[in-house]
Amino acid sequence: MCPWRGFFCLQVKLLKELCVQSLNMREVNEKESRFLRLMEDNKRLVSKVCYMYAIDSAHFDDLYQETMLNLWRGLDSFRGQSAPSTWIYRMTINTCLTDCRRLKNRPSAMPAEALPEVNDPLSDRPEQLREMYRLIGQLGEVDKAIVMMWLDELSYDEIAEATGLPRNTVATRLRRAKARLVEAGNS
Amino acid sequence: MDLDSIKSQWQKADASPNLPDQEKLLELTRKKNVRTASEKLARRFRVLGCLSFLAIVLVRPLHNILGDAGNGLLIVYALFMLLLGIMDMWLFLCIKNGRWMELPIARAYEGVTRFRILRLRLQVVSILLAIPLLAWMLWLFYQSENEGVFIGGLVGLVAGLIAGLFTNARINREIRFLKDELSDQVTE
Repeated sequence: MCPWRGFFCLQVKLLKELCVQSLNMREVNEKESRFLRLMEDNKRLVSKVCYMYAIDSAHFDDLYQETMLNLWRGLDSFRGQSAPSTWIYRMTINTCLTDCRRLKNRPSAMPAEALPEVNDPLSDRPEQLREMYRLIGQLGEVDKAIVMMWLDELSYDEIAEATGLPRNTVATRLRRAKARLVEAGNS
Repeated sequence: MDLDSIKSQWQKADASPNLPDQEKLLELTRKKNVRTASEKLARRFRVLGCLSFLAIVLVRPLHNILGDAGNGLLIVYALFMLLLGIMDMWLFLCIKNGRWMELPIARAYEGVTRFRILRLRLQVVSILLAIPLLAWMLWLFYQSENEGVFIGGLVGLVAGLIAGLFTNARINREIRFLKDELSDQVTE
């Protein structure tokens, strides 16, 4: 075989590999910037939801990191069929529900003194914030998810899409959960 | 606290400003050095399953201790370990194939709770099967006149019985939770 031909083939092969790698790197970089943008816009949402399902501060950190991992892995399959906030809500709540610590020992409601320490510089009334978390924390797992999405002003259709429940069921459960919140808040 | 206050507090809230470093975690994820908690749990069941299958090889040393009198016991022991291994691999596959992240929330919750119930049921089955196996083993050890082993076996028997009863009560409670959570009956 002519050595020049072999050399030429090798060069073409290397060039092809470089192009594929740079395409992959570009894809990865695009994915990374998309992901970081998404997290920057929605990290408060993720942190609030993780807080609602956390047992303690260390667990909160675990849940947040776990959620980030699942969002990164699921980003390729998210094609914008729903609003980003709906998708993030679903992924975050599913992460919290499938968390292993909760799989093993599952407290049904968190007493106020057991909540992780609230460290929120935006809140001017930490005791009200704590009370809010306690009230929502007393709801059932699915009701908690519905109420959180309602509090963030997602529409009934968006909540139904995220939960997989019929719209009427969402409305009924929300009505009951709100009544329970008001009753618990007044007592 | 009324609903408006709850809503305004919620919209202002930011649970923790000291969040883990996102870029660092992203770097680790890209290097594939990080496993999710579900993946670790799945791996644990896989390891337990493999250990149960491997425990079958203990038949030989047990036969050396018990002699021919323990042949029936050893067959039952081997079958029990095989069953234990199959149950653990079943749980491993449930987690791997569950794909809970991709499901709507209510379905994911249902899937997780059913997994939890399945695990508890398998625990009860294994405890209930282990009790007669242990009783038989105890009887053989009693016949060999070794008091320490016999007492240890008795304690294990009682502990297993209590664990089985508690586990059964938890199963019933989990089933009740699932029914309450996913029921959409209005109770006004």
